[in-house]
Amino acid sequence: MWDAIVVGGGLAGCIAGIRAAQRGKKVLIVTEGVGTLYNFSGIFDYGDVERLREVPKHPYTLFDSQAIAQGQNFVQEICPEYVVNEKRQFAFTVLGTVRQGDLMPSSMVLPDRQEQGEFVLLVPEGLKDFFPETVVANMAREFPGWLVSAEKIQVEALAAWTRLGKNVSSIDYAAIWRSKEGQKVLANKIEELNRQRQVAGKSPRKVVVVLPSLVKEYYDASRTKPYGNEWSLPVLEMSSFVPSPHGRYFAEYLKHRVTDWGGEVMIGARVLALNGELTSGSKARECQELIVQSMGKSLSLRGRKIILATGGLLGGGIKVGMERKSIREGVLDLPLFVPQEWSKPQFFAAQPFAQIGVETDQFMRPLDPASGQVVWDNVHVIGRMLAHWDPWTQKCGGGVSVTSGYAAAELI
Amino acid sequence: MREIDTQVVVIGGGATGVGILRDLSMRGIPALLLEQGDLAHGTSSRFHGLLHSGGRYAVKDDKAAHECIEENKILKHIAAHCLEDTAGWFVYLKEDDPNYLQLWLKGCLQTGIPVKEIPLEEAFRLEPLLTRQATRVFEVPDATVDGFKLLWANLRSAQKYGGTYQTYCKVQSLWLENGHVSGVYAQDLSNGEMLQVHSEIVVNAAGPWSAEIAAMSGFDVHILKDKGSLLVFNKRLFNRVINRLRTPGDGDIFVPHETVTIFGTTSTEVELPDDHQVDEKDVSYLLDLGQNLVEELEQHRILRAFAGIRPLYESADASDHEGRGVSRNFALIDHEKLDGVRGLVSILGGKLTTYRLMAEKVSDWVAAKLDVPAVCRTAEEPLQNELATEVWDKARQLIGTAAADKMMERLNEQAGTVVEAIARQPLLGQFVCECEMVTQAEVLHALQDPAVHSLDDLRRQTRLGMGTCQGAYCTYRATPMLQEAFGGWERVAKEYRSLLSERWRGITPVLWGEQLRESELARALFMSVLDFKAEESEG
Amino acid sequence: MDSREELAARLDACQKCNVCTAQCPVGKVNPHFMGPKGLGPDRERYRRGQSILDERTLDDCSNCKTCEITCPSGVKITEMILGARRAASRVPHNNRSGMKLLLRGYVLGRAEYLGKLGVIWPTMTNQVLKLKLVRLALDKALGISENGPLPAYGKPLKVQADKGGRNGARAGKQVVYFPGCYTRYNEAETGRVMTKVLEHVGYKTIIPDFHCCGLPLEANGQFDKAHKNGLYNLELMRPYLEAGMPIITSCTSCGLTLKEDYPKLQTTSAQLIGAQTYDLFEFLWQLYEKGELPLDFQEVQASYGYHPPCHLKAQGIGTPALRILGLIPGVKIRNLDAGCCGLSGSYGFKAEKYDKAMKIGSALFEAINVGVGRGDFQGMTTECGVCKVQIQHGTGLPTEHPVRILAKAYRL
Repeated sequence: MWDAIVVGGGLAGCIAGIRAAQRGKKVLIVTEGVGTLYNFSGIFDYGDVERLREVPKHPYTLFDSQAIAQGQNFVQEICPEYVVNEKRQFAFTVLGTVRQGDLMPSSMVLPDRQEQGEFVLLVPEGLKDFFPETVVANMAREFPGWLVSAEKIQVEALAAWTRLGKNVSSIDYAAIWRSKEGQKVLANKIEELNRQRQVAGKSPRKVVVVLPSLVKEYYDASRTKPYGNEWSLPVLEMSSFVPSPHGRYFAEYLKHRVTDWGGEVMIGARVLALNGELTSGSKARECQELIVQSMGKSLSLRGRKIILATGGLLGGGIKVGMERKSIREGVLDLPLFVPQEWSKPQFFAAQPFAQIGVETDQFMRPLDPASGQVVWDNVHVIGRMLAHWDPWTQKCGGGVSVTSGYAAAELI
Repeated sequence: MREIDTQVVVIGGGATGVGILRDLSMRGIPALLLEQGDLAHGTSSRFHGLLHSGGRYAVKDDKAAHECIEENKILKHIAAHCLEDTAGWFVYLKEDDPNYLQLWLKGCLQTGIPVKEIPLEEAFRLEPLLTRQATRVFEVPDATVDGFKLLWANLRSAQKYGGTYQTYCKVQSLWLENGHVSGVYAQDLSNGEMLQVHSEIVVNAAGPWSAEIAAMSGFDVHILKDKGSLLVFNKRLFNRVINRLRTPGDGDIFVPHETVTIFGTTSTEVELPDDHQVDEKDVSYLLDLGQNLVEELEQHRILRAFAGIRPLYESADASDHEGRGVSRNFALIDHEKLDGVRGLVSILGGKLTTYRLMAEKVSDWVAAKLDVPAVCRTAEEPLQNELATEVWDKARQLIGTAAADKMMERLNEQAGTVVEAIARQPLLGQFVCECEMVTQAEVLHALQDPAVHSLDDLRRQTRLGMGTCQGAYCTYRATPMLQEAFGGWERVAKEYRSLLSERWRGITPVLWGEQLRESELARALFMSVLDFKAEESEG
Repeated sequence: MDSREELAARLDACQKCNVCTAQCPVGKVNPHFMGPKGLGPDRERYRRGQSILDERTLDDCSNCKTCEITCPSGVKITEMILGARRAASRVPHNNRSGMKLLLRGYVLGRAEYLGKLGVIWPTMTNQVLKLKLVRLALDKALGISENGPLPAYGKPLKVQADKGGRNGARAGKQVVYFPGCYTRYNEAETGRVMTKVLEHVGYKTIIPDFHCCGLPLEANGQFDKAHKNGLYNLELMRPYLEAGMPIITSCTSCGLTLKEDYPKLQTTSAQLIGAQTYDLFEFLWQLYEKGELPLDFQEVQASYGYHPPCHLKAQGIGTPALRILGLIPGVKIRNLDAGCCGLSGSYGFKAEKYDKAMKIGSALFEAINVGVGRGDFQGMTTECGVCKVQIQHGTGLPTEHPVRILAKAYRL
């Protein structure tokens, strides 16, 4: 019997699992794949929390500001590189445009535009899904008055790829920058840039090196040799296209935090259904076991609490059948809020279908929208499975997932 | 105002218009084709991609059936690289009318359409998704045709013989003098410039828009604008064209097309020649019908829906005015005989399979008017030459057989430079569009074409954005090439938006299942990872 | 839905996100490799009905299944690749290097016959295999790497006849043990310990005279032989399966084959095999949950790093060995979960793949070395025999099957 079984190993599920494990609970995360974590840009968006808390039924209405702060602090506790600033922080997107972000690694935070410095974009040779000319032009537009230039950087380990004309993913480059060879190449390159500027003896502009595919965070001293990231010039990270190296390292880091604190991750298994019965004296039912499809057979898992973190439409937790004749929550068959209008004619719009999800009480227990009654007493629904929000137009994907994941772990 | 002098103006850049341009050019008649949008943006790309054997018309319309089988043979000879000779099956279900079966067999025999019965067990083995309700299966020489490739092959051949064309150039009015057409007035939509084109003959081959053109001479032709909606499945459900053996109706043709399957159609009369929006009711209706031919149709992913307008010609004495009842034949109208305007000819109705025959008839008429003795050679001369095997082998070696073959079919004679570019700079062999395996080199090549004005034009030439992701990834991957061709970030961002909007129009009628997931992913990519802002217009 | 349609459905599930390619261990070391997405779902859309003549990098796939485990959409990627390999294998080889590879495929694929050969004179075989000249000859003649860590041979595991047969099964408390070639020929002691542990927990063990499960045969392109072996083994198991007896595996690759591939064979017992096959620790955990596992552990003062084999992950059962070992007083165990060891069956034995296999394993080796350096553990444990061989080769650290630790706790 587990204290809690978390279904879904994305951001919300991992946060719930780590916090539960940290609290000494016996916790198991069951996940079919890596979820959407590999799309993570490195930046947590919280959005305009105060305003969103006034949007009827928005997930933020389930939490007070203390709960939101607790989640944020927890991220900082497990990822010390993340900073919250009084003033708004900005980072470069993979296109070199500037985006705001509420919680981001300090090495992503853009310098002050007023400083009148110089960006040197290091372009790893053959880096996939990265377009230096576009990025340089965008950086120059976003930072008027700054000098922007691009320099190629090569590593011997990937020479075979570039010789064949094969792109190298940012994930593979990130691994190089975290290796001894990569650190050396980078250190030499930065030292060279530094020397050139000293020789030129120009006015003392602030020089910032920008390196796409660099991920310094999520360092795990128990599995990895230390890698140097002290260079003679400041080096700025930028977010990547997907699948992103930030997502990759973050996903691995989260998984290791779960297991290092005594939790377990069961990957490659799909939760099919649950069995449970009425709790005496109340209308809500108690879920007693989950049926999980492993290779060749179904397993029965028993947990005191079930945390549902299956990622909504994108994560696969909500299945929409042909002609929308069936719209189902895939594990517990929970009742769903389904908007009347389904989509907008514009692609870049707040799409009504994004609001689909499970309505819950303040303990994130699923409600029947018709009766308003709690359906399962020991089930908590978190992250993208919650109804009434759109992470892309409201820019609060990280905020809702972290907050609800952390809050659920506190209920175990 | 710019003035242009030519002998013949062809209005309409669909298969028929381009076919006419080629035929005229091969006879040595100078001609200019004007098209209001991109080539093939209308009916010629908005169909199921079926090269008829004539089987579909064998009972009701023996003339159409006869034309089809003849043209089918000709196209298999002259346009082999634009076709896939899949063969087609007519599938007779338990519930279908036995009388029709007999009539059909008789009709095929009379029209000379070869029919071979396939034993059921063999049929289920070859096409595992075929409904188990099938009781008899007959094979006919149907094939699939790529409307884009066919059109560009015709165009390139026409260009070789001196034919010219201009896209995004809309004819505003006919230039009429003393009951004779002396050319057209048109506007170049890319820069607003007016054109005065002088010619001896004007050919109206504007498909669904041909009534509008004819009206410019004061003549009222009735074109029934019959909208047909189609669905695109993510993969090949079948490897042969699957028809239902019954009176031709809605939702009874599945056509395997490159990597996808196209299923249709419906038949609804509409007002506007560019009413391409599919509504969800059409989709539901089609899916209900599709269940009859495919096992577990609901399990398969649909990428999008699209619609085309069949420009059906109703002559005044037609008794049946319903879409399916109107003849699929074509008509050539000499306006001199009808409204007294000399030098104007309209080619109306017809279908893609007979585009060449229609072009031949028009060109015969034009040649007679101009006293040009040259005869039609389009039925004999292949559209493209056989490519040197060295180029083909090299392409396969550089980018793999699957990608190379598709690229070579699209580019044919022009493939040499693209292959060379990849050989010189292997990075150009990386895919911009991974679903349809379109290389950077091919995209760069296509962008050099002055007729490519947008990412959407590029899509029609290369298939970029037509695969599983429907533009989610490849739109972004085309960034540096778009920036180089069109210049400026603002423009690139605009191209992103317009391609994704165009794709969105086709996705929304089928917004469920895996394509809904893909759409959420595309929203995440553009609105979160790339930080694009939502449009403000909605409440 | 039959398997063909299931496959079709899974093809449709691919979102083109490239997470599989980002995770693929082979893609990171082999620039020619097209990657799981390209070879699997991307090309699968082209393969349907249209023959693809060159499937050049199919054989580079090591079949580790990392792609399938991480896929957020449940796409059966390696199944598609294996299907294409199967189709490609029908094209005859007609050049010399083709013959050499065919012969090597024959030798490496037949772990069983090598095993039988090796155990006739184990000492001599081991000595012979240690000879540089012999390894060089193997390298030159068969393309079997002269540096690769070929396992040693010992006294083989004895077949244990079924004494009670179906009657015995009815009396309960009997299991069939599928030892697999590695345990049988290279590490029979582990097999013997296995039977002792099973006996201690109350089960008699039957070991029929199985052939190789077929996985190495498939990996080396011997598809017909693999198929025959499957049918043969299933026929041996049929009476036991029909009697409802569990089949126990200690090798995670054999386990995966029995659970994933055997159910697809066209024979009646195929329908039973998936649900009745258990990894040893999966089986023991089930006993524990039912309160039937003896807990008479003695304290074992030892600390281990644990490497979860890829093919254990692919079974979708989590890490039951850690749960069981966690019950033993004194045992400290840390799940390193640092990726594929690189050997992947016989992949790393191939001359052209030796370096790649070592590179693939480097993250795991680093995690082990760092862990040992920090004093986190002194030994390694993992279920998979070839992972063990590779870990010892890459780090020099003693590595044992977790059942050996359990046996210590049971004083066996």
